[in-house]
Amino acid sequence: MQQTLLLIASFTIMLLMAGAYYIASLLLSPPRRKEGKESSIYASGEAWTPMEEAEPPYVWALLIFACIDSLPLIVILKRSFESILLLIVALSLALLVIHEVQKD
Amino acid sequence: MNIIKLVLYSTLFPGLSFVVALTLFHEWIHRKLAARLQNRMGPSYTGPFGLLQPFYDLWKLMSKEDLAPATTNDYLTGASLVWALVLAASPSMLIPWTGSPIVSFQGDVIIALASLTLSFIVMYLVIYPIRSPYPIVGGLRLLGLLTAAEVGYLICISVAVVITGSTSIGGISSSIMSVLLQNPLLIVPWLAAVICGIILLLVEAEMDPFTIAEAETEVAGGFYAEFSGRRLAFAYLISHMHGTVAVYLYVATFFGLPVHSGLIGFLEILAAGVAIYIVMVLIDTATPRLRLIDAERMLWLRVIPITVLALIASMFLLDAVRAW
Repeated sequence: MQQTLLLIASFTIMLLMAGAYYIASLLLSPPRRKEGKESSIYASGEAWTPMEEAEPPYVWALLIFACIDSLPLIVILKRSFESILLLIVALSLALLVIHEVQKD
Repeated sequence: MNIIKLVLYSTLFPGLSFVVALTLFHEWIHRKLAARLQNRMGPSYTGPFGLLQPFYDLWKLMSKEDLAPATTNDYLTGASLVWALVLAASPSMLIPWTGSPIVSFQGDVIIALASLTLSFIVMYLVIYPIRSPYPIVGGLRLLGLLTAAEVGYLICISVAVVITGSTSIGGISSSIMSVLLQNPLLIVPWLAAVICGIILLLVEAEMDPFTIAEAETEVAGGFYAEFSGRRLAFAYLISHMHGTVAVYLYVATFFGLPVHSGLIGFLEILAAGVAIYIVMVLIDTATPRLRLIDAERMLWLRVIPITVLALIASMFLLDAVRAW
């Protein structure tokens, strides 16, 4: 418990330090030019139309990712034949889904 | 542990400043070695052997004008970059740099891997609201690759966890070599995990042949296309930090380093990390970029099945050795 708290405290200190770095970096860069919307500057070098109907980040991909990522943990914790089977079935399903998506 | 010590550990060694310095050192190795292999000089003039060149490049990027598309939310971007930077650096507190880690508890290996994964997801949240097609395409490509790589890397590390019976990085590091020496049969799955681990580290470090997410000619730099100035500096730093921390996590869990404590121990783990990184740079320089479909096939159809087999083999061999 104490070790977990130490990690959280250390994480918070690093967060404050990184935040200070980021704010300090504001002082290094020159002020941003004030330009009208019609002459917006794009870092990629060419103007683009914002993707109004952009798909949200593939939620299903993140879900599959989270599910599969948690399975090796079950294997470690349970250390049983069923957990290995579960892992193989899940990986095969993920493979099938990815294969189907890539066909599109 | 008193508060002053904790602040020093978190800010200096092995905290944020150390990880930033180590990341820039690895960046120098990458640029120098790649340049020499291509018959170029590489960084040479800034500092001894050009060692300070990555630092000055970072400084220069930070002092450039910060251009951002009209759709950018400044506060969200700033907060996400800071958050991603700390998530990428924090596993350093769990790595036994000088013999024993600053923080260690059962299950910390999972925290370290989750932290590295979250660091990328937070980075993706920075670029998504910009709604530019280039970083979204690059980000989705990277998401696809990293989904496979993170799963494979976790299974690889699970082999070390199963072999040692410990879920803390310190515990794995201190016992893996003695367990392998006592049970030489376990070297087979361990070796398979070590080899697959290097391939997966290439994805984590965004090195060739897995750099399709930032293909310049196709998606104008992909993930980083709409970053400039200090945002680009932070984004590059986070990306390289991700790879650097993953290398030392790999060294500590698979090679049981450091063996000694103190400065000698630190030099041991540093030398091993640099050696692994040099192997990665050699692969990066010698291989062309794979198409996304080929990279996915390689990871899902070859690397991950081998890691799963290594995991199963390590469990059965361990049970067989115990029964014997």
